[in-house]
Amino acid sequence: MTSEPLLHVENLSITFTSHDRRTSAVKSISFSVAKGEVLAVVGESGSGKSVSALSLTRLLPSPPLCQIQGNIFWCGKDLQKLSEDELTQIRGKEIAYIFQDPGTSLNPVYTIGYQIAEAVKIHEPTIKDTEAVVLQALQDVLIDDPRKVAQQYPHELSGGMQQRAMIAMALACNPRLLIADEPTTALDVTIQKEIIDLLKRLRQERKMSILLITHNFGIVAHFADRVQVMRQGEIVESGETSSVMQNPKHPYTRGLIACIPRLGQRRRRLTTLSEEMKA
Amino acid sequence: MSHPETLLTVKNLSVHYPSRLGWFWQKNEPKRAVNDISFTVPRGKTVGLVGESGSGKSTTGKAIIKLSPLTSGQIFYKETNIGVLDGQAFQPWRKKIQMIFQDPYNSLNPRSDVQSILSEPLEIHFPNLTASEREERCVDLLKSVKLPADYLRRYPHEFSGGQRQRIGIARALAVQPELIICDEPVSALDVSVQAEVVNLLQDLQEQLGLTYLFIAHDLAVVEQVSDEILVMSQGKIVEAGKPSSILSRPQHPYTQKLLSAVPRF
Repeated sequence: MTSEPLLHVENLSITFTSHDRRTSAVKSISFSVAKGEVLAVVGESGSGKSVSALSLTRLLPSPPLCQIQGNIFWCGKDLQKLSEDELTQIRGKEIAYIFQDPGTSLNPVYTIGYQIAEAVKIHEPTIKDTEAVVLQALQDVLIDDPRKVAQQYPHELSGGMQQRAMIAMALACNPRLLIADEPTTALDVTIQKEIIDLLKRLRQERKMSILLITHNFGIVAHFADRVQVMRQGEIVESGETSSVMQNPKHPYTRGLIACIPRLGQRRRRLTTLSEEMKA
Repeated sequence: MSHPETLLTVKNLSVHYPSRLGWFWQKNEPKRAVNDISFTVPRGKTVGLVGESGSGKSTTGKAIIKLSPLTSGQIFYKETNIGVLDGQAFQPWRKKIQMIFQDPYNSLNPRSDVQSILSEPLEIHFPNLTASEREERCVDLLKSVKLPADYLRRYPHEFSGGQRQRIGIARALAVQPELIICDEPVSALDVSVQAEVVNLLQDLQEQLGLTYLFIAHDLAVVEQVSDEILVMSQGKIVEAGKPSSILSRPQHPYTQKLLSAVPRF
């Protein structure tokens, strides 16, 4: 293990308040991501996996709507204590995000090239030739004709190409941590494979860390170094991917893995979660 | 056992949409969503239709119940060519063929409570039922999809995704159909809920002798439920066969590519 983790989260709790009703979305979780590591966060809808990722760089609504407790350390710095300006230096630059639906994450009225250049200009104001950076970024995500794609609008691209453009934008400023929130859920399996293979390659080349949020154990098995399973705002199990997948300790993890229909293993009935295991 | 009766026969079905790009003097090639496909669905069995987005699988399902326009081809329900029927003439077959949709959030009317959602098809197809008989049927329907009877007075937003999909299934069952077209019925659900809904569909098939055309992109789910699988790509059926043979010995390059893309563990 490395001496100091890139990201260290301690006792993070997230509470939403609406109409006097308080919902505890995340309940005092702690985790860290080491340099160059891929950590997968797995869970069903409502388990708190996405909100915990969004809370890291203050992407959630501000109080009183949403209250965040606990400490988030980025290279030893407490992100909670930073001013908005200081945080902007980190968000998008050192910690970048890609989301599930590239169609809604891209701005429909600007070209792909313009949107990538925008990110570069904000975070690397010293770079004069932003066009070269944009084309390089598009080339890095294996887009064949970067010049053409840079001039296209999001609606002219397929879902897979849009997600590539999103990845190009996220990686244009060489982040140290990429947070990928269900990056392939909206895509077809063949495109999913291409995107995951691409992320694997980029991670090798750039030695960056990835926080992968997903509900798909198949992707986790082939991509993540470590995995943590979330349920109702708590981490029920975490560990090396192979040991969690092959030998899950927590009954919820066991149940969840057993529910998944697998190719070539047809059963008379699918296994379901027992009543007490359900969210 | 003797050979099961063929319930649905699709012959040379094509659905083309006019392309809207370009100026009026330019001749446009139509979008061939479904291009000359043929298949049959035997009674009491499940035929799985897999493919990626844009392959034409949903259009095929919709064309059968006239939610998509038929460009050419025939659709036989038993002996009757239902492809040529329209409006009132098709009505009796709407009772025999029902559909379950992917998105349980958008396919239920948010302003109707469960009782009116379930009663509506009954009022159309069973006009002779009295109000109390209808209510009784609604309770039975909820029971058959394993939901409690007191849900009748609730509204769709009060339910989880899995519960809404159960209500969608109950609505399809209301008119006692023979064939149900399931269009991605479990794609929007969490895996644990997906397993429950798949099991429910299989239980209902056994109890009621239902026939399914099961449209999905998830090969493992399709394998689990299907007696026969059709693989669609770009509007064509590229491969058809028993699940075991398609999965162990895929013949068409597209099927091979699809299978190799599924992450296994």
